[in-house]
Amino acid sequence: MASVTISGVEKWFGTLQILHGIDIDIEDQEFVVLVGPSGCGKSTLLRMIAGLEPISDGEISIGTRVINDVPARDRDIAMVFQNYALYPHMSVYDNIGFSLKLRKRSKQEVSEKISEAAQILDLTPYLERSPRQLSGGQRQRVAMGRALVRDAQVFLFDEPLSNLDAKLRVVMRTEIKALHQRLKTTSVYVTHDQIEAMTMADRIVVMNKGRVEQIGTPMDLYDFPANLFVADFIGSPSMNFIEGVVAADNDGPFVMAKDRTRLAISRDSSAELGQKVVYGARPEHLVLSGGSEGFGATVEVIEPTGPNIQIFADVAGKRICALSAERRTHKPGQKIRLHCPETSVHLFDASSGARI
Amino acid sequence: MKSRTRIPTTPLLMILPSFLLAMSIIGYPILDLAWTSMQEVSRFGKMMGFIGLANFAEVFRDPLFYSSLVRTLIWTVAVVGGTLIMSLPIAIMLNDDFHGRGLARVIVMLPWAISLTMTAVLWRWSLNGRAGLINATLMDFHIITEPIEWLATAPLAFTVEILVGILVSIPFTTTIFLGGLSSLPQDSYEAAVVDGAKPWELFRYITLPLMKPFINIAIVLNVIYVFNSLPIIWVMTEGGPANGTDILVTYLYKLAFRFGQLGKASAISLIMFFVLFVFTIAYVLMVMRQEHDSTAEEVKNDA
Amino acid sequence: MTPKLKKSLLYWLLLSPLCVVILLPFGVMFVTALRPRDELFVYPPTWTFSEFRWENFVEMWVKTNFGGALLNSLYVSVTSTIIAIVLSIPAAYALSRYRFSGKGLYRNFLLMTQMMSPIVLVLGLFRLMVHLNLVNSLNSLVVTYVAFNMAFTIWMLQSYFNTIPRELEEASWIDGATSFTSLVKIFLPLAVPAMVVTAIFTFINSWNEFVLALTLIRSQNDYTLPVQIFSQVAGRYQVEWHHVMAATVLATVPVAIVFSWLQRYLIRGMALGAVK
Ligand SMILES: Nc1ncnc2c1ncn2[C@@H]1O[C@H](COP(=O)(O)OP(=O)(O)OP(=O)(O)O)[C@@H](O)[C@H]1O
Ligand SMILES: [Mg+2]
Repeated sequence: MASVTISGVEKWFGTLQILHGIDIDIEDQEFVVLVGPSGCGKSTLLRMIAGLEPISDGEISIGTRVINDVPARDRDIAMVFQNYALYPHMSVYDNIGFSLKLRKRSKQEVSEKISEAAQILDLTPYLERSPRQLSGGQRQRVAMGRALVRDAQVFLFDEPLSNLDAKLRVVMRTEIKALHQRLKTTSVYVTHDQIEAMTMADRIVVMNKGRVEQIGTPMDLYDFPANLFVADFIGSPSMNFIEGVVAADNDGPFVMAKDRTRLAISRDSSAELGQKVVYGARPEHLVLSGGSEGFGATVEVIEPTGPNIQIFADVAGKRICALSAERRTHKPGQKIRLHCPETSVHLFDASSGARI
Repeated sequence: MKSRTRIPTTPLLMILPSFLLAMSIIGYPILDLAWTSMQEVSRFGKMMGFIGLANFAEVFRDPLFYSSLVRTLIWTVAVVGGTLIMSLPIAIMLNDDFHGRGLARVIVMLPWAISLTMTAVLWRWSLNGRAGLINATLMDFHIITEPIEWLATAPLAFTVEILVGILVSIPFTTTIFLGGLSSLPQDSYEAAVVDGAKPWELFRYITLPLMKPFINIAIVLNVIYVFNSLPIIWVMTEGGPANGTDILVTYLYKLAFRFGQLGKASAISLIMFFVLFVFTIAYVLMVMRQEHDSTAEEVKNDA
Repeated sequence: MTPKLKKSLLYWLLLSPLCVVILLPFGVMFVTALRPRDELFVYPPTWTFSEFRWENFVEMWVKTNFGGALLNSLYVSVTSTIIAIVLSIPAAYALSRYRFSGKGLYRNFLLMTQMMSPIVLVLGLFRLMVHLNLVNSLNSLVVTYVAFNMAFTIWMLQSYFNTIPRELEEASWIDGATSFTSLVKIFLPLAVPAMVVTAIFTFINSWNEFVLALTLIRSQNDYTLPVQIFSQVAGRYQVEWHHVMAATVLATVPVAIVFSWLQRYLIRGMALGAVK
């Protein structure tokens, strides 16, 4: 097992730059998730670590070895592909054992390793089948098995769960995590699903348009998003944003929205008077207030989800979302007051998007 | 672009053998023809010296060249036009599900499997004036009372050859159209049906526009094949009677291998080459325009 | 009547004239090949005849050197097919898997060679073969057939190769395979069906070719089947039509059967390659 160091990595396709100087330090035994919207370059970066895509500039090392010019087969990595890439003309047994055979391991060792992996992944009854005869979830497990028998230094996953149905995805997510806790192999996992990222990662790398927006633990990203992009991307339903200008009165500082709505912020905030900012509040932090606290809103749509009720309401001309666990029913058009504790408010500079 | 682990010479080495072979077998003769066309050549293929464009001048003074040229135009337009008009409805039927479709496909495709030479031999015998079974059949059905000498007069023979030409071009064209039809998005049809379109309107507003690229390509490829097609006319009438069914290729072949007029034959070859070249460019441009969207990225990488 | 049955009847009605015209000469072929010689030119001509003369085939075989022509055709078609496939696989692989400069150019070059028909070049080719001392050698046909078929084989193979996911090879590299192992153990086994289909079509093309065979082969012993059959018909006062038709039966029926069985692959290839 080993650390992975990515420093100053760039990727060009012809004259088109896809990755702009990526720096990520992945520690030994860590499970790191690369997350970001479609087309932001996650797969490209992963494929560069795997050796499937040439590195245009910068350096990637595994352990202490720079692997820029090392071919994929010598990098000692294992990879699970989005479409599994099972060899259709080989049985499950041969699929899992292919890498061992190439490394000229003894027949006995090969068969031991395969049965061990099959045991872990519940594949024992299917070893003689061909991939065509398996369900999606089973294929996914075969792909995992192929990685498992390798004892590789690093596991790479490229959206391995995106072809599964929602239920199975949750199950496999937990299985992969359990597997990592057992094997402790350094893993890099690509997904565009932020819930997958939050639940699985030791640390998350949020990418956007070929750049790293923020690196941190799931809770770090949730509590202290470094900028508007991360704040918007992490969390579901996503954070509410209201633009305004910082002002103050006797009751303390606040953000004044377009229609003079008063959005209270913390006294400790370093925002300057008159600064144009974006006020951010997560739906789960917006509470219905009984008294004069908070700000006024007009209910527009109500969506019960079971544990919660999502209230969509108009504040200063913007539709925001609040989560309420109360079973009280509101009607569209009804005036309510919402309140967000000042410590839960996120403030971002309106022009740079950076957290204040 | 800075470093690359994949050396770009690998793919070049991989295409090299096929490239060299094509270059020498197809490229060299073109140069040779260009050279020969400007030489005075003896009956036995001996070069007697440079004579500039005299061979071309002779070609353009030759009335047989003009009559062959006109007939080539008629031949090409009639065969390609007839083929297209027949093939699109055939392809639409064969693309639809009906009882015995597999058999119908096999029969329609059959002429493609047989060499043009054999097909022409078969027709030449079937159309035989005295003993041909076409005449026998027509007489059995009382469509004609006397046997017809199909291949004895030039206009009738040429008409028959055009019909055979259409028959043998249908399979290839139908295949292109079937490929096209099977790639048409099914949901456009469903959407149109939901919108209340009738079968004719479906054809007019969905099938025809979507099939346009395939129709274009079928036109260009067929023009090239038909323009170049020797066996049918050669086997059935050898351009006769009295050069009455000669098209450029048969005339060229006679000049070169029967009358030994190599200089003049080379000149005609080059003229035909030029015509083909223009058509090929048209085709390449058409394909490129079609591929433009799908491979825009690739082209960028190639730059 | 179900709608489908109605439709089927309508379609067959529309297609039947064409089917008749296509099948008619084959009927003529069989009834001629099997009838006694003196019933060839009866007047008025009829489809019927007195007895099945299977000996026609034997006679024809002996008299017309059919066996020799058959062997020549087999030699030329098999050899040129093998060479064309062997040369096309790497080229098709490169076009399908690599990005390289000149790729578009090479594609267009192939298209051009596809357009250049043998007949326009036949004089130049003849002179080339004279220079190479290959006239009258079957190998002159082999090299020209390879060259003229290559655009088609590369295009067919490439469109099939494109359907084999690149990820499979990538997975094998990560599993520790060299490019060569990956090619032999993963890619080629998956490409076998494509290669077989392409090879058979190339074979049929070579088997049926006429113009080049007519021009480059001058001695009777080296005739391929189309030329041999043509030579029985052309420039003769006395054509032994029952022999010609017997030879045509033998030369066309096996190929027609194989082709009928394979034509759907061709349609699929067209759809895959979408005329690229
Ligand atoms: N071979 C290539 N040539 C040119 N551009 C490419 C190539 N491969 C990828 N790209 C571009 O690079 C960008 C990043 O692609 P990548 O596949 O890494 O995205 P991703 O983050 O994995 O997205 P997704 O979540 O959709 O898989 C995209 O804009 C894509 O168009
Ligand atoms: Mg991706």
